Amino acid sequence: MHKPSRHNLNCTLGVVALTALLAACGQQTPGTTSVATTPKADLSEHATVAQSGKLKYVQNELMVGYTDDASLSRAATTLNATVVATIPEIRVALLRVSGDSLKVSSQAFRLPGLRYAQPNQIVTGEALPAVQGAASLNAQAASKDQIFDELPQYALDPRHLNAKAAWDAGLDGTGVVVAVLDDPGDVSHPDLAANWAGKAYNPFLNKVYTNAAEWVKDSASNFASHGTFVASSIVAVKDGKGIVGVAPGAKWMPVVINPAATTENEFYSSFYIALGAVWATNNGARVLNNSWGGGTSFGAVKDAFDYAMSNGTSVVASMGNSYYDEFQYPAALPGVIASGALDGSNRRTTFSTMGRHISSSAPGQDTMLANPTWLGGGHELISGTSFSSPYTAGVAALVYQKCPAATPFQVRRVLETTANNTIGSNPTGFDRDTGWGALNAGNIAKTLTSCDKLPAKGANVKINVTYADSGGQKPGVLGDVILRGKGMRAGATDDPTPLYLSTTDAQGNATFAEIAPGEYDLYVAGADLNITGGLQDDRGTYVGSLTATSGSTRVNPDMKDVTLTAASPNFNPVDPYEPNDSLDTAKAIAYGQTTQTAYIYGTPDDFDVFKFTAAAGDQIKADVLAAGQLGGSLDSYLFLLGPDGKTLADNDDRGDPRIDSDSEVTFTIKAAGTYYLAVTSYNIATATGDDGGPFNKYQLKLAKTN
Amino acid sequence: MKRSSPLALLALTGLLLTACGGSETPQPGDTTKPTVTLTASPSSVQPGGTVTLTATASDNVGIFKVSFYRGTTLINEDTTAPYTVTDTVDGAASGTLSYRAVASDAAGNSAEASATVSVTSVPLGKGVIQGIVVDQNIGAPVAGSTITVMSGGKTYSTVTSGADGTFNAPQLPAGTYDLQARKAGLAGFDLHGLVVTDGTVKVRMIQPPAFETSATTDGAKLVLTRADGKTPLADTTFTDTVDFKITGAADSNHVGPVRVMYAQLGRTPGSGSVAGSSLDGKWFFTPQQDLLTPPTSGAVTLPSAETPNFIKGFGSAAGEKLNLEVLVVDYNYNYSLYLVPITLKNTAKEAAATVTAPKNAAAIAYTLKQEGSWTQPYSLPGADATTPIGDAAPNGSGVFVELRWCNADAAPFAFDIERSADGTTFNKVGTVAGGTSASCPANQLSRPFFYRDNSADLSVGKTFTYRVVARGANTAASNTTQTTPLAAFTPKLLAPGDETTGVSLTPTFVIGSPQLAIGADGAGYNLQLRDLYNLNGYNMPGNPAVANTLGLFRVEEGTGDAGNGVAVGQTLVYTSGLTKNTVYTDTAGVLDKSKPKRLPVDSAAHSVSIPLTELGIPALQSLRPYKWQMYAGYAYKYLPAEGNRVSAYSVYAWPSSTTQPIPATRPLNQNFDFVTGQK
Repeated sequence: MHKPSRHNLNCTLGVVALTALLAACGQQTPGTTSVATTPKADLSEHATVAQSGKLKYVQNELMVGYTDDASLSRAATTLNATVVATIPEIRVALLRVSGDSLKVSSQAFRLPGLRYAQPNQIVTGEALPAVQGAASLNAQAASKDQIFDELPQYALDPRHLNAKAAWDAGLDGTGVVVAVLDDPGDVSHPDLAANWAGKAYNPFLNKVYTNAAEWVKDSASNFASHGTFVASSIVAVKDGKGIVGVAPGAKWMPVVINPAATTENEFYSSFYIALGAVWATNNGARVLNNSWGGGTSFGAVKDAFDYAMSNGTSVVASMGNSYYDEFQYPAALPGVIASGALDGSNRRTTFSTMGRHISSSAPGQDTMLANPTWLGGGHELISGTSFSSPYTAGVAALVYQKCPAATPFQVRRVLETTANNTIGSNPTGFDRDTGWGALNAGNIAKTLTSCDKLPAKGANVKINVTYADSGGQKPGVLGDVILRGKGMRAGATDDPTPLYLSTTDAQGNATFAEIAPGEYDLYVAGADLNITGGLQDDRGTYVGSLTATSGSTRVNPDMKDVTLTAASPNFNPVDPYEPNDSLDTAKAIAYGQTTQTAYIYGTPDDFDVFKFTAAAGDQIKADVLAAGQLGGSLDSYLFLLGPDGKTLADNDDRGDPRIDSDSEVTFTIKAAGTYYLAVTSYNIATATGDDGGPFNKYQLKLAKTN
Repeated sequence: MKRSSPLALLALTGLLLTACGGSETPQPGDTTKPTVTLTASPSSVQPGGTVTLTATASDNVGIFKVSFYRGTTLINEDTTAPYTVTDTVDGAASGTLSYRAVASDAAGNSAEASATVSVTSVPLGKGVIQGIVVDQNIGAPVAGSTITVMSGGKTYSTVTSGADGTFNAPQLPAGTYDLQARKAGLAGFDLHGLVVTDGTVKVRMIQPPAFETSATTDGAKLVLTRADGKTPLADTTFTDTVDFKITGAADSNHVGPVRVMYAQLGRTPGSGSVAGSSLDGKWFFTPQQDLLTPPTSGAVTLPSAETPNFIKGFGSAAGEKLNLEVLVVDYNYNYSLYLVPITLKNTAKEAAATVTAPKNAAAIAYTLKQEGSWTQPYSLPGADATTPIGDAAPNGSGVFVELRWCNADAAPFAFDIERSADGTTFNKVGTVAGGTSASCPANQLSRPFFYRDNSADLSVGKTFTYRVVARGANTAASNTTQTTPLAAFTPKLLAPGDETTGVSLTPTFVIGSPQLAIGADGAGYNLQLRDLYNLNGYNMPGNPAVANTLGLFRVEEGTGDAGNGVAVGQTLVYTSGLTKNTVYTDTAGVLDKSKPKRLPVDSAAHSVSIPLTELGIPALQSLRPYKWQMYAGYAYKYLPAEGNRVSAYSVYAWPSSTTQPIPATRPLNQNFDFVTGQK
């Protein structure tokens, strides 16, 4: 039996963020108010959503990181793009391009001064934990210590978050603003209105709302409830009615990253999530709650979170609802406080994702939280790490109230060192199931009696990567950097030694914000061969050590320069046969010859034409060696043209059954003459879009087989 | 109680020190008394019943004996721990019995402890309640749960479930009983309205782990009436429709809010995944959660648009007496089950149909390995009827059997499901609505009618024979079909290990595949390999190419003609579920005469090696993080006597309840990260 061909293998293109609300949503109760359909700030009204593999992106939007304004405007001019919006704080811009952004992104990489260029990803959903049952409440048997306002809340009782002990000691979040990046929260809900910070933000519309009625009018949707549930766990008002949040003295700022206008999961793209995070930081939020996740968050979202942390703002995220031991993003980003979910008996719930990156756990199953007024109001039970995360954000707000100068790493360590660590698979400390344990707000009030008692500060690390090859030194773009704590016990689920991943930007910088101080193994590797299609030898590697020191900052980080002996990705390759875009300019190829590496690149709708002389009866075989055999990004297409320029044969993917995305034509020549072989990409051949990345490489091979 | 006095400890230490000094002097005079405690079980007993006395005794030197007394009468003595005796209570005994245990050491020091047992003077009868306590609807047995049997305000019996979860309450006079099951850490189960006559009645009680172990374990106390809210529901005669209203009693001591209310005829309702059937008749209700008033279903009249099958297959034109089962689960997962006797007249015309035998009946056992989902012991049919989020066993495994069949002829009034433990004597285990369908696919899992049997007595390793009986004007039984549930299956990722570094760019993945240990004939796996930076990667062995299937490596170590048809000692590894499947290893040349060994199996370690290069996957990148995980993994058993169909699965990990062959999602997963080396 032959080896299986590659098409049998499921190669998922997962460049993307598959993002979801990390909640089990409360079901809609019968007879809830239906919301009139009003135009929403829905992406689909403004843009075409394209899909490649699992990557969903806005077809004509490109997100770039830039180094200075000049390089941005130069890039915009070169790409014939308009700048839609920028986030100057983290130097990220959204460009509207004329073609398909996935194609343009590879082109944009070669422009000077761009740190990265990515299609503007759309984040979509993953499975939620199953909906929980419902019924009328009969609170006769609820413990008295679970009633704070009206409805029972086990989450806050002395066996769980122990909130009252903190409130009694004066820690209720007063003076702290928490931003909730989510679907639009209901600022008019009776249990929330008094704790609205007075501002709400829609980054897509770049609109700041200060009027509750206007916000509700623009946001109400049958699918938007998650952000309201989340907010109520933090700031529900202590007024003797309904429920109370863990930090009822704090204020709440909704930031829409998911309009949920027509379905539950319709997240704005990464650019707007980043814009929302930056806006919230600039508007005084000290905690950003992120009850969403999936895919990866390198690029704009990581830049925005790094920016927030450098401004003393903590980033809290839900671990995910997969139940797997795995990294989900943004929870796994360096510096992010990742929260797992517990049930009423402080057991890890059967949906809570686990992993080495978890910080701590909080109640997340069957929590009684506020339902938006546009879905009938009141309160419902709901489950998910989506709700352990905001409880964690609320507890972080208590720390900021006490110690406004605390750094995000200090806040994280306060939470971790005061948690009840007897839970989970390690009853004496950290475990991957529940982190450092169940958060205990009362314990914080008891322990953090003065800010002198704050734990040591975290570290901020910057690794600069340079590629040295025969062409000299170039920035280490598309590289990846791993910090792996020394002494890590591989596979030990009670080992808290951290592992951090980051990609490099166009200057070759990889940053790690607010990480644990200590000794690390440092692994640095060159450009991602998935993107460049380079050879294994092109990817230089480096293994070394790094000391991350407590108190280093984004401005004065622990730095290390690493020079790799590695091929710098050639963003501007030279095609030795160009110009050969027409029959007139076709270059000769002979039987038995394989061309040098050439590129479908540099000109719009590039067709590269080669010619050969054939005699009648020649059986010929022409092969394009592209992504399938050479690597790179070219999904090739090959035409055989007769002396009259008419197509005699063409092929997209070779083999029957298909072997890969390379192309192959066999043909028996009927009459002597000059024949032509035209190589292009699948997209160009089928007019499904332009295609011109610098990694679109190929070689053409011609043979006579008789 | 195991409490040793500090004094005793000191003395012991002194003795040891002396011994260390090398002197062999005789033991000094022992004047320290032993300590002893006594328990008597049960705490109340019928005249003529037995009481078990257990003493826990310790001494600084050693216990010589423990003497047990009833009053002043010596029952017996025991010289070895555990110190225990049984006492048969006199048939004429009444009042309170006093027991004593006297523990003495060799030096004659003694101590005593006492306990009392009350003799209940309830009348004796010939009724027996035989029960089992399980921790989920298909769960593992619960040992050590205390079951209290009550009737008319009197406690007739207090028994404890054994290691297999079973209990037996004999000598009950005919009557209607309430049962309570309680065990620390678990939710409570209250059963109301169990009718006992002479003979044995069987019950199953479900005690999942409590949501919050500090909360009350009382189930909801309900008021059950007809829809008018006044007329008592019990003993009503209904014709073609059933109406009721379920309301929490004012003095109910359950933990609010109530999560769900169920009602079903002739079966204890539960989630569809393990208690489902074609034309499932169960009703469920999930009312508002933030009211402070007692829970209520409101007026319910069935069948309704949402619950069209409620009475199908039940009742008769003349009227049949049966139980309406109402189950309410509160916030703490305390279960409250009411058995309400009603008479149902069902005038459906199918009762007059002449029926033929159902065909192609096939029974498939599913054993679900489960660590997850035990904090959510049930799921709502409306939410995801096929996913056993709940009703699944915690920290162990659970078994259910899915029986599928065809019926292309006239729809009968009902299909009765019958099961036999010995292959000859069949008992009815359930009834579902009749139906007809022209479809009868060769794929047993796609046959139109099904019933999922989640009985507690479906134990691993026992063979069960099923048949379906169509019931109309006549009855006609299908072919018989057998299944033998498998034990839980735990395959393992072996190499590269979790969080290892320096892994080869072309690693060989090794998994442990212990299907032979549970008597299975083969195992199926899907593994995922992903780049941690971009989540790109490969499924191994690849994409599912057919809807509702998953590409799998099938690993079969030979079990001979009685099993997979591969000779013992030989191995076969091949793919299934792909457009183009590959035989990777076939040491016996069963499928591929060239006898390939590309994915070698270690027959001693029962492990399979999967070299990346054999799959045609290009080399990994150097110094880069990846993960590999077991996305799907199960073992299966063939049944040669029924055309080599698969008759049992034992599931470790399965991604989707809608993907055949496993109708259940198992979110269990092994997920190993690793970093490749520099070269």
